[in-house]
Amino acid sequence: MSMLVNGMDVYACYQCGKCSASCPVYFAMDILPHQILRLLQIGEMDQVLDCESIWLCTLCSACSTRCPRGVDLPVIIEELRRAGLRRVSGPGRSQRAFHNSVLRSLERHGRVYKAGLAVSGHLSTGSRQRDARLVLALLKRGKLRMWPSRIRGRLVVRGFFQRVQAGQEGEKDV
Amino acid sequence: MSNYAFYPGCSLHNTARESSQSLLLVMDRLGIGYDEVPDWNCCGGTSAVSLDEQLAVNLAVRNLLQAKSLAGDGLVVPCAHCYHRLMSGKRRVESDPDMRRRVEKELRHPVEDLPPVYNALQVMERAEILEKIRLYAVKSLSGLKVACYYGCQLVRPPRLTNFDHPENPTGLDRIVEILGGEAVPWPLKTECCGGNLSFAKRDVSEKLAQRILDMAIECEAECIVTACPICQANLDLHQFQLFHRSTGAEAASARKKIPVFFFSQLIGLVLGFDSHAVGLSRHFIPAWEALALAGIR
Ligand code: SF4
Ligand code: SF4
Repeated sequence: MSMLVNGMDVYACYQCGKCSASCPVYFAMDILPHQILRLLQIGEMDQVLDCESIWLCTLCSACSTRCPRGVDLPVIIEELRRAGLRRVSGPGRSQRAFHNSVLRSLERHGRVYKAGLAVSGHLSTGSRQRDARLVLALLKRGKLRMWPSRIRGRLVVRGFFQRVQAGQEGEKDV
Repeated sequence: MSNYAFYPGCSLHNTARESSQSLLLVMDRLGIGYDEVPDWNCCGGTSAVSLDEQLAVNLAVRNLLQAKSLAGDGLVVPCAHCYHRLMSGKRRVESDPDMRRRVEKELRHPVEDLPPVYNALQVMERAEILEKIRLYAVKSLSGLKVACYYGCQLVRPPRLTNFDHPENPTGLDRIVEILGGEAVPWPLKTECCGGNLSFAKRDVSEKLAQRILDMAIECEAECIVTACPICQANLDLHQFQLFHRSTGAEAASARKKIPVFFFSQLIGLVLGFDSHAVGLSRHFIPAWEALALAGIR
């Protein structure tokens, strides 16, 4: 029996738990790495798509490097994320909002406009006053460019995004 | 003289500017030639791959094609995250003809003979470059105790990154020793610093960063040196934010701070550049105490 997620067979996992023991963000996860695999094995896809863990994973590959069964969990997690990146609510919403802002910036300019991200509320220091102080401190050290840096090939990059969007709309139709 | 294409990436244009600033100085001094990749685009980081796999590959491959004509000896990528993404895109088109065809269609360009991709550490840790650093050194770290921190994206997964070991790499340790410093043994060399959660999930990212700083201090390091510009910026900025968030009493009893360098800053200092030139004035946590210990000002 095999069930592939992004080319990885989830049945290869024998639940030793080494991945969870290696994971640096386990303390914040609602479902631990080895539990993600177990849920996939028993077909509980919805639970996995709805957890915060897949958005907390930093893709650090500590788990996959140590897994005795060669299971590449970050590769699986990337695929799970692709199913839900555009969702607004639910666990992991701040991480998704961040990724979506990065992608908007990349789509527009071809590069990421960090000062734009900073002022659009993605610093999450917990208060406006602290956000402002941080932006100032970064500017003072020349660590934020005031204006976006645009590339000449941005239309090509925009084309990549159009294909993605067309694909997603196509999926909805069927 | 060697000639590389150089890919800075968005972080080195912003929060991690001191990394490219010092690296380019050092490359110049050591006679390692480079040209910036013309019109490079963002590598997409962990965001593009979370939306669409081919998008991530497209973004990587466009950069590799832009670099191709310049990269006689390959493409140098100082940012560990960009390095990871460019390597991953390159592997993907080289091993999957179907993906290659799709990328060619979107880029309207044949995808072949992509240049080899190196991280800056992989270029600097080569025996002949280490020998050059030894020859050109005008100062020494004089036994400064350094925690060598590689982070996660640079060395893992091993199928992608070609480092000596995914959990105990040694390139930085060798460089620090050539510079006259002492690489302290410590256990978190390749643990994730949470840098890519620092915007979206500050509380989690802070725990990861603090764990690394505490461990380095516990192992008696006097500074940390990183090979990843995002780790450097994250560990430095985290200490600043922690300090400014604590109330008066907490700040007074605040935790010990530890300066965090990008490795080319230390090389630059030993080669005789001053602290301003290698970008130390951009740091949040001042480094003068550590430099005084090393007898460098
Ligand atoms: S380390 Fe590998 S085999 Fe063990 S529980 Fe995790 S995924 Fe399964
Ligand atoms: S890749 Fe993700 S799940 Fe695996 S150890 Fe790192 S953070 Fe945890």
